[in-house]
This record gives sequence, C-alpha cells and structure tokens, in this order.
Amino acid sequence: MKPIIAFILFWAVGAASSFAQDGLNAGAVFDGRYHDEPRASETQISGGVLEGYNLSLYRSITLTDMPEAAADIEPLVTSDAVKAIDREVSYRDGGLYYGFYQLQSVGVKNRYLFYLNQNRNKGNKIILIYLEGGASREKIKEMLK
Amino acid sequence: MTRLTKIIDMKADKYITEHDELMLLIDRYFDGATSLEQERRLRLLLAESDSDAEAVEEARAVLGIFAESRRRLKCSSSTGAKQSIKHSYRSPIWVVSGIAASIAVIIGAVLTLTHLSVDEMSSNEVLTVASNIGVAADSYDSIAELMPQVNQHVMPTRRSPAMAVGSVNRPDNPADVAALISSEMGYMAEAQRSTYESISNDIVAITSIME
Repeated sequence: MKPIIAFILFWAVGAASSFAQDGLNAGAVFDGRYHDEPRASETQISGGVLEGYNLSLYRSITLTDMPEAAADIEPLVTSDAVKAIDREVSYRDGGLYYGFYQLQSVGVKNRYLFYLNQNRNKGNKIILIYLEGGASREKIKEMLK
Repeated sequence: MTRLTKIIDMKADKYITEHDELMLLIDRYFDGATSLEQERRLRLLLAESDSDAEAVEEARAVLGIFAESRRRLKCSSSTGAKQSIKHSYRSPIWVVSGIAASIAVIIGAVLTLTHLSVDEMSSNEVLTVASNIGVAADSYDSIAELMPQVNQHVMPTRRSPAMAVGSVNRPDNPADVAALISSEMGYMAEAQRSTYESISNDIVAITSIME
C-alpha cells in the first residue's frame, strides 16, 4: 500500500510540474505553428546544460521579418501578463515593444516570460523567451547584462 | 473398511456407514429437509467420499466446486502428488485501495498526455507534451516513449532521437547553449536599456516642464 501511495504522490508532483508551461497562453506560440516557417527559429533547451543558470527549461522563438506575427503573439503575452507578479514593459508605436514578466510560480518552479517586438523600434525581429526553473528574478536580470 | 459413524437420526439413534449417511443426507437435502448442521456434514462427506454414484455426483454439482476441489485434493494427496490450492484471501480494504490507485494512475496518465490521443496530435504537439513530461521527470526516456519512431535525425547520443523531430533547435553543447542564450538575451538587454533610456528621458522631460 505504501509503495502505491508513494508512486501516486510522485506522479502527481511530476504531472503538476509538467503543466507549468501548459497553463500559459503564450505557450501556444510553441505549438509548432511556425515550424514550417523559414523565417522562424525555435529553440528548446533543458537539462544539465542549464544548471549554471539555475534553470530547467529555456524555450525561445525568433521571427525575422514577420511583423504581422505580432498580431497573434501580443494578445497571448498580454493575457499572461495579467497574472504576472512582476513586470517591466514598454509600449511604442501603439503596441507592446518590450515586456519582461515574472509569472506565478508552479510548485518550486519560477517562470519568466520575455517578449520583444523590434518592429516597433526600427528592428525586424519578434522574440519570445520562456524560462522556467529555480532562478530568482535577480538571477534572470543578470542574464541581461 | 468404512468407518462407523454415529449420527443422530431425527427419529432414532442408529449406527450406519458413512456412505449410508451420505446418501441419507443427499435425500434429505433434495427434499429440503436438512438443517444447517446437516448441510455442513453433507458437504464434508461429499468432499471426502470417493463414490461416483449418480446421486453423489449430482449433489456435488449442486453444492458447488468447493466440495469437488476438496475431493480432488484428497485424491491427488492419496497418489503422492502434491497440489497446492492457493486460497488467497484479500481484505476488502486492499482490494478497494488497489482499484482506486489503478483508477488514479489511469486518470493521471490521461490528463498528463492531454485529452487528445497521441495519434490525433501532430508530432510537434506530442513533442511539446512529451518534452514537458521529460523535463518534469528529468529524463529523456519518457520523450522517446511518446514519440513515434519516424523522422529520426542524427542526434548526440545523450539525447533521444525522438527529440529531433521538427525544426526546433536543441543545442546541448554548453558552449552553443551559452552562445544562443547570450544572443537572444542580448536583444532583450538592448530593449531593456532602451526602455530605461526612455524612462529617463521622460523623467527629464517632465522635470523640465515642471520647472
């Protein structure tokens, strides 16, 4: 009986952690919609290589010369931003230019979201980065230096 | 040599053989005239009796396998062969707990893999779900288990081939990881500096207006 209970508990913790990203609206950007787009570059990093950053997951997508994609991505980001516990945002040219959000933690995992639309500041990239792990906000800000 | 057994007849005390007693109890059983004690006695005699009489076989069939099993056990024991009948009695609590745990595991597995079957999801959707599971389990094997064995690319040995599906970059070389993070976060850093610069400019402008 005890092994069964222990198994169910361990599974429950794992399952809860696995939903950390699934609960995000911005997570839909990583659903593969841009996999066939040559102007898109998607990256996923997990495991031991992120230990130095105290992260467990790093996901990013960069869309080059696709300003129209902002119409799809911005609403997802802003909807997640509503629940953010900390944020730094900048609006330009009538829309979201830069956003850094610390989202609500899931278990022991802190979650962060970066959004940048360079098309609003003489650039040509839209970048969305999702971070997950034990890193503190200060640790994440150090990555920007 | 049959064992003489004393039974208490309903009407008179008599000594009869076990076989006679058995036949008497069978008759009374089918007449619906046996007491509980007599029924127990009947089952015992049926289990121990080697008789193949039609009435005895019929009684065995009606009274169930239990008597038949015990008879077979006695026969096999008499021939020297050992047959063990496993009588596993499980507490109802254990049974209910096992059923509940099985249901919980099944429900959890379904929720973990989302409401869609793997076949209905695109390979990238499966990858997304699988990667989350893999990250949570800190294991790449779970990802390999979920991914269909197609579109496998050459991958570093440490990772499952299934993780190569789609156009998702998955660097695992620390130098490549550092370079990529530095590059992407560099864009964010530049945007942050631009933002702070804008804030500073706005504050300066407001200050000058107020002055």
